[in-house]
Amino acid sequence: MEAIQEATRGVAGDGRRPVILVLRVGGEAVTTLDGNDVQEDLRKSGAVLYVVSTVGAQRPNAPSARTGISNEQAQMQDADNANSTLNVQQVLGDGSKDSGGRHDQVISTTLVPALERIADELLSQYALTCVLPNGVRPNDKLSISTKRKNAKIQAPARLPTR
Amino acid sequence: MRLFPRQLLVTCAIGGAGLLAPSAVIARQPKTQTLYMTALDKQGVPITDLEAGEIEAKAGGKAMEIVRMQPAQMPFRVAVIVSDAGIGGFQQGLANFMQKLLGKAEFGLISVVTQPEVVSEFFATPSGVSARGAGRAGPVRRSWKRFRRRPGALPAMAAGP
Repeated sequence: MEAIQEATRGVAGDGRRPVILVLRVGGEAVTTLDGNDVQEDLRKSGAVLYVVSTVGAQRPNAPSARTGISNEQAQMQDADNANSTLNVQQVLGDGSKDSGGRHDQVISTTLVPALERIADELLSQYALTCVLPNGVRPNDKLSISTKRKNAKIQAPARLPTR
Repeated sequence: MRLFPRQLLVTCAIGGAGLLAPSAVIARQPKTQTLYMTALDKQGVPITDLEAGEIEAKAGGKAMEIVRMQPAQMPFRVAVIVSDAGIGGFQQGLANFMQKLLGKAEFGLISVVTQPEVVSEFFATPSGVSARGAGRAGPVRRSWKRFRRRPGALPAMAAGP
């Protein structure tokens, strides 16, 4: 989460399409960041978020040895872990989809093709110039669809803020 | 030269109109926004022959007029975050990913083992990778090296660290 937040600060730049690619095996440290805040930063950056996780990466962290702490402290730790896992899932799942990217789960044999497919998708992006209707504001809901059968559009779910 | 009040007034009026006209024209022009999207078929393969007539775009529930639709040309800035617990399992895939985007993107690398660590600021070629993060982020750096050894890599890469 901290890394994604850091990436949102550096990736946005004039004259370039910002992309954040996350490759993960899971087991990240517990985060205190709120999923909504990171998602908002992602939206503001205008970056497309692609996530590639290995199967099993979604599992919550195993509880560490808890010597010398009370039951109450252990319960608080568990609650922190659960919150952290939820926040991470929110950003990786909803955040990637809303940004126009997605979250792929891979095994060792599908990892390389999955990354190549993402590169191909980026290279096949369309630039769509639209007239904004009156009264529409930045961050309003955006929906792009196609009439073509069996085709799916990947696009941001909100209008860019800049 | 002496200007009479009436001539002065006319001159000022013409000058003022000239100054105000462009901003009025700009204000009348509709606001446009460029958006980037990908179209995929059933198998997840990108569709490259889509036309503007096949697209429907709405913002805030209101239909938007599409004035132009073309393959995007703007280069990318890609921030790659590798959280691989230090095992380097993403090396091959990452190298292939970068190879495909070579010349069309600049890359920045963040490695997460315990805490995020910026291995490299944004560079268009792997020769720009800094020496920082050579320790824990070793596997990430190795994927850069693997990428540099590829045939067809830019000449500048051979001179890299």
